[in-house]
Amino acid sequence: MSHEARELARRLTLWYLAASTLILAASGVLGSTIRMSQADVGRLGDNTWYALMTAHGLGAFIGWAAFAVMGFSWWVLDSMGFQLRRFGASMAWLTFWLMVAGVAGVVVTTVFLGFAGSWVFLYPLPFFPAGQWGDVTTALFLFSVLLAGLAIVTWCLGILHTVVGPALHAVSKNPVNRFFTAIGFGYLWPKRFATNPEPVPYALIPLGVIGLDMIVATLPLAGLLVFMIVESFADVSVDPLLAKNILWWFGHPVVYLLLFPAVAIYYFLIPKYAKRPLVAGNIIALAWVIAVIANVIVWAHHVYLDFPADTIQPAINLVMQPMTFSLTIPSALSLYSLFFTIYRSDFEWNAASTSLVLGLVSWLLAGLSGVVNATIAFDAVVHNSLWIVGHFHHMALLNIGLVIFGATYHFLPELTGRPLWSETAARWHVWLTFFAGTFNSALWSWQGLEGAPRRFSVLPDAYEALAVAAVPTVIVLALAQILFFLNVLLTMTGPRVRPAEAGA
Amino acid sequence: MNPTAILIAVSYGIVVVIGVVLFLFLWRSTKAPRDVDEKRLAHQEKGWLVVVVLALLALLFATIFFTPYGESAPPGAQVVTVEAQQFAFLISPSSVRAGVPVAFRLTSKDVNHGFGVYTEDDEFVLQAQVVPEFTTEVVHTFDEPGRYKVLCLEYCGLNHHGMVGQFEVLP
Repeated sequence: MSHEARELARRLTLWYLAASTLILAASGVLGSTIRMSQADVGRLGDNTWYALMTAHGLGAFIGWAAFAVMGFSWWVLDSMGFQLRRFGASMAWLTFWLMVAGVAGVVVTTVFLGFAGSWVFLYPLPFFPAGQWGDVTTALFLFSVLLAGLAIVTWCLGILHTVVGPALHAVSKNPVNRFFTAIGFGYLWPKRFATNPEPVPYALIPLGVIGLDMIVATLPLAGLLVFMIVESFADVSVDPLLAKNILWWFGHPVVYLLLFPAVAIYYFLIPKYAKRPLVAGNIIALAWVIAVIANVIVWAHHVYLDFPADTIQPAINLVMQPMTFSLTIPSALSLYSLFFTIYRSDFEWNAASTSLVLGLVSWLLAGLSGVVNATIAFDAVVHNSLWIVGHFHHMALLNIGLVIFGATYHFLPELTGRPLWSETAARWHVWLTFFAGTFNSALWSWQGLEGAPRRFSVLPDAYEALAVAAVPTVIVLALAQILFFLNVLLTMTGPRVRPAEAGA
Repeated sequence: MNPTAILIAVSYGIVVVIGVVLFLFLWRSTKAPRDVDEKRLAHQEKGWLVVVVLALLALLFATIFFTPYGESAPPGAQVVTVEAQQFAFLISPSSVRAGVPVAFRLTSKDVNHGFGVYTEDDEFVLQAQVVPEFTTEVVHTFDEPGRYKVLCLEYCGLNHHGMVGQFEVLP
């Protein structure tokens, strides 16, 4: 293990963590503000509400959750012996700055320039601003999203370069063979994808999978963004249905940009706390073979309710239901493996491990609500309702978010050389986030089942009562995050562990 | 609440309870740690895969025949054209008869909209996306006479929440 490479991974992870935590604070404030406004607490103007919604969506999803797990990926890889080499390091730093610039651009164009096209900026809405923003603002917003998209591509390149590195111990020198070895093919075809002496660590597999998939998913969106930037200044146009499909070609896999690195963290940390190896056999590798293919071809379940006459769209949508169902298999098998790794183990319960296990609970529950969305007959009722908002907050905040918090509490002491400022504050933060966040998502889900539409700055009267009921929950959830920010800040600036103590 | 929404609420509620019980069971198991046969558990993961696949197939075959696709207006259907634009629905005619299929022909003059039909008591009835440059047809038979609301269910800009239309179903 190279000390310099370890130090580089440490610095990178800390930078990603610091930046993503700041973005969490900002996007959390925005999210709380718009939810309170729906309950008539500090009512915002309509365009302000929709602009903050746009900033919150991109900020929380990409700027916080994705950015944070992207950062932890470097540390998990290094901890497994997969150290960054020159190209990987360049990509990692480039990713950081592209992401920071992209998020900053999104904040400026939404919060200050009033762009309110939502994070999906469904074509051609950015060009129909109802007098609220201009073409230059549209172009700047789209360029900022493009920067964030390029950050994802450069991260993927860095990941792919690292997972096929020397630590893979693959027998083959062929880079394609090495890649398939890295995503677990050796468990299924041990002769063709041989490693010597150790098999591929399970935690490597989801990182390799997402490294490939997000390049495939992001490049078409990048093309659409460039075209839309041109349209800001020239008289060109895109087929709106095609644009919608391209958007979701990216928009679904990006969920896995959050989930798969989080799974790598689960695979890496849960066995440590359980003090036994991950309970997994060859079959889990099969799940990841399904994932690497299905992940990029299930986009159309986001457009189940788009079925224009004389188009192929309904047929595509119909095929998407079984395809999307197949994507539950990696989750189901991973949950099985993690569950039985913990089962009857001498599990060490602390803030970090509690956060991870509560994240697993949320993964199961949010995954099941996702099966509802994946079913056309059910989606016909819940599509674009607050049920969807409940589902993705459950998944992003309480599965991915709790992984990020757990990983932060676990890794921060070794990243900083300083003990965690307060284990007690961390436990309070984790439990309050879990309960308040789950209750908050449950309220949204219930409102959605009652028919409450999403993306309404002012909800119809029939749904306002539960929006008001959510206010105390939002306050508790927001206050709980202060404990997290304090812990991160005071750990980073606290006294270092003396070598004697560290060895004790 | 819409009947399908009730089905979702009940089914999801049951699996949530099962999930929570499982995790409480998991937590308690760590209070009395002991060696387990990890290889046997890993081997049994194949059995779990079969269970998951069978459950998904069951859900697929139970639901796949209930999609809004491919339903064309039968002879004698009432045709209603709906033109969506920021931030209004132009619905013509504005009244239909109960018990007779209605074919809604949806178009948009500008951006993507959503055509969401609700009863006067805010119970969800049906929805479809309205894509510019395309015509979408959705067929429905209203059993209950009364006034129905139309909400836009795809974000379309500044006054998206205020984009409300209505029509009447006559006895």
